[in-house]
Amino acid sequence: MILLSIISLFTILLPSGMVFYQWKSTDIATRPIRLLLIITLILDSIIYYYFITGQNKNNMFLFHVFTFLEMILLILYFRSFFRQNWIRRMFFVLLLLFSVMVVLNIFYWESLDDFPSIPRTIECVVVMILSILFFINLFQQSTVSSLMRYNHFWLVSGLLLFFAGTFFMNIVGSLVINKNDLGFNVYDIHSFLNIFLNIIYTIALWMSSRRLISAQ
Amino acid sequence: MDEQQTLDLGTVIILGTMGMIILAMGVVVFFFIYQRRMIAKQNELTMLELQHQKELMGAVIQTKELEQRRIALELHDDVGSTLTAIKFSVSSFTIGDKDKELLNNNLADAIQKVRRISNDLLPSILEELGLITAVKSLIKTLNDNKTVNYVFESFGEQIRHPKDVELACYRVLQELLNNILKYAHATEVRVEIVLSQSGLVVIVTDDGDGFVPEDHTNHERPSLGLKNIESRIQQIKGEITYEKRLPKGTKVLIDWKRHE
Repeated sequence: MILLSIISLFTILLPSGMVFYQWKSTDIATRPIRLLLIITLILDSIIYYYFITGQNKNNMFLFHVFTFLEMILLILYFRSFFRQNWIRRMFFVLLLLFSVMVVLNIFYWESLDDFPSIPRTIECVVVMILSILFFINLFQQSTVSSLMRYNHFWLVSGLLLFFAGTFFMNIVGSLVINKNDLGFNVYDIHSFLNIFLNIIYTIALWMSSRRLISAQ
Repeated sequence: MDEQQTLDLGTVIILGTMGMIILAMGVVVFFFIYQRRMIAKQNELTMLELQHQKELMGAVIQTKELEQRRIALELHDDVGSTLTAIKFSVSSFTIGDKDKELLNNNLADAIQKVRRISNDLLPSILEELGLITAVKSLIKTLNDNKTVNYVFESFGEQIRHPKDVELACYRVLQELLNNILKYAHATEVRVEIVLSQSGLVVIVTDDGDGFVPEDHTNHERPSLGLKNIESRIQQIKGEITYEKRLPKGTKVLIDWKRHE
């Protein structure tokens, strides 16, 4: 199902288009997500370039770089919802630990040519925990009256579903990434979830712009 | 054997992924429903608190009226009677005519003041003769003050509504007229009352600076007088609306409907 992978790659154009459309947006909370979308667009463009030029070079190093940047930006995104100083400091500790782990992983366990199974799995667990903490924090503050109109609820729900869905795939990623005899392509699951996440990103950014316009 | 293990791995991935997605969806749905319930509960609590505040305000007004009634009766029956008795006794005193006249004048003045205070605290005319006569009397008193011209008109049937409704309307009218005199810089004030079996309408119009409470709620706390007006109208389940008139002035409309 090469077609599904290509569609999945191209769906990044939707949210990144929204980022460029709202380039001067003053919504600080979604800034890490906007940056993440631009990075994803650049990396997806490189992957697509490799694909159309028929270069069969191993591009797993891109996945290592992407995982690292994605985790850092998501930690910064979730950090913006917490006001207590000690929790904000814990986010920095988490960020530092993850950075150290990524470097150690490259040197000792999974080289730049291997699938970054360990950082991806840790990233999934961290994002799932942070999503639940976000919900708990949201209800403790009880400042949002309608969740359906709250863009961050859409964003965090999308992230939770995506990382929960790719969790198993990431655990066994290094084992099955090149296997074609599973009866299905493992990467198709990722493609489906990636399309879903990109749609959620688009909805959330669109809602963010509408919220700011109505607030002016 | 190896092929079997590969297929098992595929099943584990599919089932695991589906399980995780269902779990994540469950979490999202749980928080969504939980939040809706929490908001509903908060709204319910706010409503209860508002209701409680209304009841408290009602109790405060009722207590105030009772206390005013007690003081008014004390003044009228006790202090007033004592002063009148003293006035009669003075005539039998062996003092100079000039001193007697001065004493008599002072006592008459004191009796008049006690009557006025007593009447302000408990407008007996309202209880005995009804809203129209009481307002007529109030307007007559106010017209003695020549700075503002007060005009009063009544329409409809000569009927009586419940005492608490008449008292609330009278007190609100007193407060409105007092506010106009203090803040509106008006030269003419018009009071109209329409009485019918189904309810009553009180309309107060002036040619002053123009006032609506909404203009003051953003940066100021509503005054005690306005709160009082609101509470009294809520107590009788009536409605009050303020609107600015063109080119200047304010129109206040009190509408009360009989609830059978």
